[in-house]
Amino acid sequence: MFKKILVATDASEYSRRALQNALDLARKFQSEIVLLFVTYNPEAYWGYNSAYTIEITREEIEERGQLTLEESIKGIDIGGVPFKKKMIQGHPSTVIVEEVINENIDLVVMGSHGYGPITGAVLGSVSQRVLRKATCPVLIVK
Amino acid sequence: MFKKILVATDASEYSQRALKTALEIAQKYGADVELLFVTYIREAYWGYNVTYGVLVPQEQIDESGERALDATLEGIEVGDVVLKRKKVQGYPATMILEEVEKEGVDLVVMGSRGYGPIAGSLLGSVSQHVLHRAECPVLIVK
Repeated sequence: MFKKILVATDASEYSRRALQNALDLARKFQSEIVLLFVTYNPEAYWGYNSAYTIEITREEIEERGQLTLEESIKGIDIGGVPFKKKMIQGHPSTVIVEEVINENIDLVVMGSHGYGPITGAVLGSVSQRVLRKATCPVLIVK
Repeated sequence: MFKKILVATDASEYSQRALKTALEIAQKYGADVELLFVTYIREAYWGYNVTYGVLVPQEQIDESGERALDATLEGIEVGDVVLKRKKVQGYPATMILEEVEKEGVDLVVMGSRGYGPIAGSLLGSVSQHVLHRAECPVLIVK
């Protein structure tokens, strides 16, 4: 049923719990995991071409992405589960929803809260949007 | 990880899909499934004592609850999963959250939409409410 699970991470404690839950499910369902970090790029939301207004260099973005992905996995045992790390630049919820289609995802697992401007809000804004727009089931981990 | 899964139903097609997903997860984890239907009582929301303002006779509540549970289960293979049917009355989101706490539920599975005043909205109001407040992971099925 769940062949491919997408975990969207921002390296927060919630994302790490989401990853742990996803790994547990993956072991039961023999699924593959895609761990995705989206580097937030405000321009992407408005459809501007980011080439016009680059403020962060590509290297910086990649470095930050790598750090976030490493931080998300630190101390978590991924043994035995096919695992792919991915880093994309753009508007987080839009990118996540696109990835669900591109990667043929059967389940999205996300934390209920995250970093970002709404930390501590009832439900992270990214999770909210993904919940509404994703075409597959979404598991929100507390 | 998942020992007790709660499926909240309003007998919609979304709820049926939620139940199917819950049963598949239950099979993998050897978990029990509780199928819950809440008869909506407006007064419950405002904290009135229901006995003062009964609008619907008990028999009718029981009957409609049974019908909703039957309709949800129709055509669904339960297999060897232990399934408990339950019907309560009150404000749906509140009753679901109470049930999570009382029964020590580890996972709630719900449909993304339902019947009720918000049918067709982006995410059912009951699901929203439960998602925000539940202490356990919540899986929203599309």
